[in-house]
Amino acid sequence: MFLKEITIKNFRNFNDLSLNFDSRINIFVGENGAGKTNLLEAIYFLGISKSFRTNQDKQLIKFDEVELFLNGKILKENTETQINISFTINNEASLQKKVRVNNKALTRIIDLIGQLKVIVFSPEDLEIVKGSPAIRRRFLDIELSQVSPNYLYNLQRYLKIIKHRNQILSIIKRNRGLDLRELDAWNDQLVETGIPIIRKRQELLNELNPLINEIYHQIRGLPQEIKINYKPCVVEEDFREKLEIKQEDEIRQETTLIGPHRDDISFYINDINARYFASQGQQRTIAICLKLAELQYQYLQTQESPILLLDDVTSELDEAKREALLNFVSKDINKANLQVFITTTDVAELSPDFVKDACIFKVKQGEIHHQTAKNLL
Amino acid sequence: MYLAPSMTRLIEELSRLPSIGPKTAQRLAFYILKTPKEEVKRLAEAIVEVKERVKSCSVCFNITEDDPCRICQDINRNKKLICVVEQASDIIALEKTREYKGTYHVLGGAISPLDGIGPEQLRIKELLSRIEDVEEIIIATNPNVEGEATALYLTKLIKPLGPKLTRIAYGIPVGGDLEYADEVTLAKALEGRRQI
Repeated sequence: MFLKEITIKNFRNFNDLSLNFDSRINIFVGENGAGKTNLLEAIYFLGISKSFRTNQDKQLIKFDEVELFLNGKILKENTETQINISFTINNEASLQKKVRVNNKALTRIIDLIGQLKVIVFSPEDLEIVKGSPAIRRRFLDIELSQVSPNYLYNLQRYLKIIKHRNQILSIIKRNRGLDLRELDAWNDQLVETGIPIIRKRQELLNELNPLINEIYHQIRGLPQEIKINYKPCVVEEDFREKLEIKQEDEIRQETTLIGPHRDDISFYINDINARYFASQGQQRTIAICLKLAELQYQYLQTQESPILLLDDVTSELDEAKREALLNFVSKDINKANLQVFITTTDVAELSPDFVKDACIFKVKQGEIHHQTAKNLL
Repeated sequence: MYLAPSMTRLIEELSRLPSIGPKTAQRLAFYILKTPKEEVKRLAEAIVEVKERVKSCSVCFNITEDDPCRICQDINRNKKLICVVEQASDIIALEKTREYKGTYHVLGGAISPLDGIGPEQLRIKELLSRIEDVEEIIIATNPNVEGEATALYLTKLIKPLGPKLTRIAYGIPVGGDLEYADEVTLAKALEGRRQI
């Protein structure tokens, strides 16, 4: 699968733009603030209908404009798929995203996810290792949603159930002696919907562990053991019982305390917890290895490479690691028909081998000057 | 812009209707203006009549002009079988099948704490008062989380009382090809598979 063409209107600092891409390597070059990452963000948005930098879609609309528009053409085994996302800021400040696939309006986001599979590596990914559990759950959820529509379906239901259930808990708090059978009905659903989420997460981590280890060895060249541990808030067998034990606490706090919405994962280097005890450099290496493992996992699951978006890796990694990363990516480009988009301030920071077949776009103040490698060298 | 006040009023009233925006309301108002008076009168009368005549059945809460409703009065209907639905409009869908020969019970919604709808807001007590002598209750609430919560809650209430409880199945639409069913529907259909 690869993204052949994108049309952008009023997205971040871009007015009106149409680009044709190479099926393998695409490089966005430009000064800081030119809008390179915005292009990666637009591509990501076509795949997920969310940004990897903000939760507020409103921020994506160009300043002083009211309507945003994205269109992408994807080529998959000679079949073209067109994705079209637009939204308008209206008076009520609410914003209605319109998503169309092959000109058919979608009512469920489930039908979009997976059409254009994307993986992004950006400086913020350090937070997956270092940051709060919510960031790690988001990583698990986006990853699993792209390979399993059923996971996304369960997740959406699960989050809705939590909202209803929290409401019930605060009603019970204010009105003790209420019929608890209603809470019980929500408990049934919480468990029934939560268990497949726990199972899928466990399954993902079982698959990711050997992959991330191999990648880490190739990039670091050190005999260190890397491990991702799943720390479920509750295991399948104890779910019901724990809900009963915690019921009083839940009512007092008016919130659901047990379930996969409280899961976490942690990363270990030689049995040392990387969140607390690894250097920033090590944490960064883990984050990039995780993304590459994710790439391989998706390929193994779907026999199809997602699109890889590498944001500013040149400034993030030292030369040796950068080289190892690009070598690794090059191998996948040939082996698994991987399409890569990479941003950099200076093409010279990428290895000449990598650059020589690439399609290079010069980004300057929201405008693009298309250039191929040859007339640049 | 000046518009005759009575036109403005009609447009305003029409735009209160669901899925009618201001533009559609205006188009409808101008259409009504052009329509012969007798036709407009018939429409107005029909609207008033529906409010005056239609009430809900005191047994099953289906919409009806006679009480009890025709379905509840029908001696050919199996009174030992009750199908529980959220809305009266769901009955229309089920009746179209011409397969179901039991009676109905309209709950008037589904449990939804976020919308302030609990069991007390639904006609659950009325359902419980009907289940003596009933052999089977089919729960046909929607497959969303609210409908599912309602089904689970009803199960907890009714199961100890004796009648057989069933839940309608969901899965691939009949006449549809497997290859065109979306992944989620297919996964659900696999989960709900049965032995043959």
